[in-house]
Amino acid sequence: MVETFQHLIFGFSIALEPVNLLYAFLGCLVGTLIGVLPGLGPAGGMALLIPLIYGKSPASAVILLAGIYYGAMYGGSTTSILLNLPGEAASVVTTLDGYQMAKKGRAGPALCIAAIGSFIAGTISVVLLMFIGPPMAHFALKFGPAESFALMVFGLSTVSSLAGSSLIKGAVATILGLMLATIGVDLPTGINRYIFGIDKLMEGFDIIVAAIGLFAVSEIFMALEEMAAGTLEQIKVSRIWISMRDFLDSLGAILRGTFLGFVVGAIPGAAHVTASFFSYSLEKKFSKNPENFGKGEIRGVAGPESANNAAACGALLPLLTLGLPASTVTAVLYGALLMVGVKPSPFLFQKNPEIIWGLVASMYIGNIMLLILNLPLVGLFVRILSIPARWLLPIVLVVAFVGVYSVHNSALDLVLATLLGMVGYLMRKFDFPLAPVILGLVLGDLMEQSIRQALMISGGSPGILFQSTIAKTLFVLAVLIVVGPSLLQKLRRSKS
Amino acid sequence: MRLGNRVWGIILCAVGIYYLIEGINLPPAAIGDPLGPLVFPTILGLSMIGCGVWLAVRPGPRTNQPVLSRRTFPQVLLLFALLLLYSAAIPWMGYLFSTSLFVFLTSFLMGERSWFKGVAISVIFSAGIFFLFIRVLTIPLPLGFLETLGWK
Repeated sequence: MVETFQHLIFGFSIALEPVNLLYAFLGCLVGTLIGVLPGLGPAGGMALLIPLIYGKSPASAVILLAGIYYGAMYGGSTTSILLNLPGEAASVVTTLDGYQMAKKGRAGPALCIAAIGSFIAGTISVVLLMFIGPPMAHFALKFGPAESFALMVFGLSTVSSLAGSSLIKGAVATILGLMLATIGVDLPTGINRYIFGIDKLMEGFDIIVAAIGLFAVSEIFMALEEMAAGTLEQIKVSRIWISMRDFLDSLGAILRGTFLGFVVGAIPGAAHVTASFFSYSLEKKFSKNPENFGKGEIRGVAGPESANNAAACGALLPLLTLGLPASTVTAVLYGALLMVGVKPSPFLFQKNPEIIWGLVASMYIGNIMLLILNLPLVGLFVRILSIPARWLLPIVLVVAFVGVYSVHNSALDLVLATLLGMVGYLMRKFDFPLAPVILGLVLGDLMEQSIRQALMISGGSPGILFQSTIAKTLFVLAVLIVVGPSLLQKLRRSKS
Repeated sequence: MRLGNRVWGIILCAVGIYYLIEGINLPPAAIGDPLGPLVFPTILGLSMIGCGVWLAVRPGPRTNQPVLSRRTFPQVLLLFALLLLYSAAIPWMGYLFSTSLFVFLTSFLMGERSWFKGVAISVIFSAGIFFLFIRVLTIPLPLGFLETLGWK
């Protein structure tokens, strides 16, 4: 343990060199710019800027990338909170309460808590990585296809049971998302499914297109309607900084989100988006006033944002301990490490401890840099909201469309986003929740892969799904979450 | 317009059935496991039908509030049509023109009344976005006939 600590100190001594601090600053700046544009997302932004690291030392390269990564994530939260414009799947959760806070004039506190929550989550995750990293990695390895499938079923059940007013409507939204995920070419067999003769659909339905269509475009339809009815109010910014009470209120959510996110992030194959959704469901489930969620509850921003950040750190575990990139972001990091001459492998911990702790330290420096860079900008960002709606809304649409267009460079995606905007509008009107659609779309591919792998291993018998203890526990929990609340109600009623 | 949960149940059933039929009619896979691509869609189709039936049979309490208002819904449809036209116009007219036009029209739809302000803001804003994304972030946006004359 003393040795680990020395390595970490060494890592920090590299990360704190002036050149590297400059890289961290540049990375955060460029990352924030990328993040504000929906569509590119952290992984895409990192991949785009990989040529910049060519010829630099491993530490500098990783520091630059970490800066871009954190900047992009934070930039994505900013647009989610201010404009209901999720830049990637994980920020969809942030829109749920973040945008509502902005509507009530509390955009400043929302932005602050997103930055502070991410910072705290990053700090704790580094410590977790040091202490429980290696044993966690072995637990994560127990997740085969059947267990991954069970985990995803559990994730979907928590979200669909918590997101809306009606259980069945939540389920419908989830299934809709899973259906959208089956559009496109089926990779194992090469068969085109549900493309209706449109070749461009072979690439599948992109999450960004769906997120922007369902959330941002439909929100603007809603706003236009309020405008026409004369009920749209100009947002008044009441305070820019977060109050001590807000912070203390969200501290619990931040800590819970951190631990949850770290564990979920470390599991290979469970998209780390799940972490933010899990955290949101958890906060809502255990809140004293669950009815506040979706109406601007600060914990609904603090928890998921922290979980997202911790999941990113947790996702480093499989990469560092096993040499496996378990998420898109770590896959880009893997490529970058290869480029600068480091081969991630199970022996990295023994052979190049300085790389591992340098990486951890630089992720952390990126985190601090972002806090320093962005907290002063909160005031500036919030001022965006004082633009009159008749100008702000068209501009949001246009920026959103640039993001959608940049995904595949195709105008078809713009049409799809518009259509989904209408679908989202109707779903809001008729009280179907939107968030489960996104989680379904994100998890659809992974779920299908894992169930098919499991069935292939067992030779077609579905029994394999219920064999291991982990899978059984997760399935039982999933069922409990769905039927539990109504059962409890019935019990209470029969007693009284 | 009023649409109860019962109607939604029937619509969702139809979606499920259509999805299921479309899945069953897929050509058999030449490689890999032949039934593989069908397993997941079948589960989904059946679940959707199940949810639809549930909603149709037990629609829950009825709300008498009309959900889509006759006064405001046409405006929403108008913006929807504008967005579709804008999507089609981007590759055809080029980003700069279509965006200026779209921002201009939408701001008028949303209540802007000054012609001068409308034109000025939409052109300046579109040009700004265009330069930022094409020049600084090197994201390829489609160029129309006029932009391609100017620079490349």
